[in-house]
Amino acid sequence: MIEFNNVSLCLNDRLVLNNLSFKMDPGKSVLLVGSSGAGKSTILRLILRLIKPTSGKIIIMGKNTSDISEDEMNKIRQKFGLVFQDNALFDSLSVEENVGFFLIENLHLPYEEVHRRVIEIVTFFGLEKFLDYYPSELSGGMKKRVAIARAIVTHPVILLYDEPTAGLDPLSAKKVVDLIKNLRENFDVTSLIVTHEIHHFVGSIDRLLMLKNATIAYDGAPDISILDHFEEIEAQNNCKPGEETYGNL
Amino acid sequence: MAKTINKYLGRFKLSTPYKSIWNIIDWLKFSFKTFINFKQIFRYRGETFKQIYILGNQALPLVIFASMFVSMVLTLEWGKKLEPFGAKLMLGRIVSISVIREIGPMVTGLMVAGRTGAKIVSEIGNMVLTQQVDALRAYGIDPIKRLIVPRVFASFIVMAPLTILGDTMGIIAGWFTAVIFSGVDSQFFWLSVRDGLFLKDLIIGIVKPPFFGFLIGVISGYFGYTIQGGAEGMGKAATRTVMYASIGVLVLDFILTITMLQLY
Repeated sequence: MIEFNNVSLCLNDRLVLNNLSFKMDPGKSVLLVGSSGAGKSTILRLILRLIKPTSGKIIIMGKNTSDISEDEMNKIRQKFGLVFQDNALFDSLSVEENVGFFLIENLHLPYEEVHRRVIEIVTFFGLEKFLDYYPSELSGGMKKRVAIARAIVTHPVILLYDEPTAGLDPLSAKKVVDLIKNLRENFDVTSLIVTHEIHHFVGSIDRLLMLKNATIAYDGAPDISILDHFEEIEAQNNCKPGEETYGNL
Repeated sequence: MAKTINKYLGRFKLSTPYKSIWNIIDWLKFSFKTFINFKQIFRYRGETFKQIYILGNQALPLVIFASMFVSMVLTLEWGKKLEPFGAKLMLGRIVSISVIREIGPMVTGLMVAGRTGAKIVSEIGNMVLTQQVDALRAYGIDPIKRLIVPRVFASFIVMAPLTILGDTMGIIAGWFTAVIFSGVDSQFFWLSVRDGLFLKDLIIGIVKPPFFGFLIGVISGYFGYTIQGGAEGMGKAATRTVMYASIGVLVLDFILTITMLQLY
């Protein structure tokens, strides 16, 4: 379904990904972890060809994304759902309009059908009382739920989550994690979850990919010992003596 | 050699001219892509009408206000200069030709460059910075077709009506000033306007503004679409938009004037 073959990417003279290779099978839930700046979100952008690799092949649904036109790529993109780290909700549209946006734009459904589907999905997400609210009027957790609702409403084949629990309080984060689990059970959708907050997702994934030094350091079952090792790396990365940290602010 | 110079002078000094040339090429590609996608206005007609309404409404008071005051100053100045020659009766002709051929389109262009240009760049720029544009792309929607084309087309299409309204109010303001401050007889003023204006003046006055509108739209759209660097980047993009759009209007006005004088 998604295949990376020796993909390398250089951004601003920095090697972000080096000969990265992995394959994702349908129906599986994969967790991609790595420390901040390791290139996790970049992989999502590569999958959707929002950026192009410096070298290597990315094959999505049997098609090499480097060889296809923008129109063909757009058709592939319409089979994905992407939840952005900062939600990327349209701030001039209400919750209902945000969730229904791609139903109108991509599927060209009539208003009644859009409304029916939106109501169905926002009810599932517990947002039915907030249909007329604008993103600026919602809490962080609610915005995240709207973003996930917008991603799932078009019935995508693959769902990509970019740091779905980042910036949320523990309670909201748990709600979002439960929601992702529910979606997998109810909609049987293939998921790729990018995060550095592994502990939230332990027990609800089929496979773990760990990024380290621009390549995949671990690919296999979600092993607790690996997670401990990852947390050590994370701690080391966060506490380098004399490191300037203001650049990340 | 270039690498050695680069090392000693610093990368910025060498790369800046190349970057500018690259940016111009990139902008031309962006403008061309926008232009060839103008047919998308039928698909996104709701958004296009909304933008026409918003851009037109927002720029209208500014255009009328500026046209009126520039025209009043022009009338006062010419009234004073023509008085010693006993030629104040020519005031209507001079004011109307100046306003319709040059001042109206120019003032409208500059006002729209400031008002509409800043609006488009901040709107698109904010959408880029908050990943809303990425969201469109990620879901298979071309942001140029969905966001840029309706705005550029709106900017293109509102210019002619704005100029006509600006010209009308400018001439009325000129008449008011001529009668009140320069002592010109009202009837003579309008007779002078009627005798002085020809169809070609009206055509020249109407042909220029849509070109200005397209230019303002693609400049502001480009700076919004290629924005980088958060709030600081937004400030830079807005400043560049107003600066380049205003200069662009002045240069394009010169080019169009030369071209049309050759034709007529």
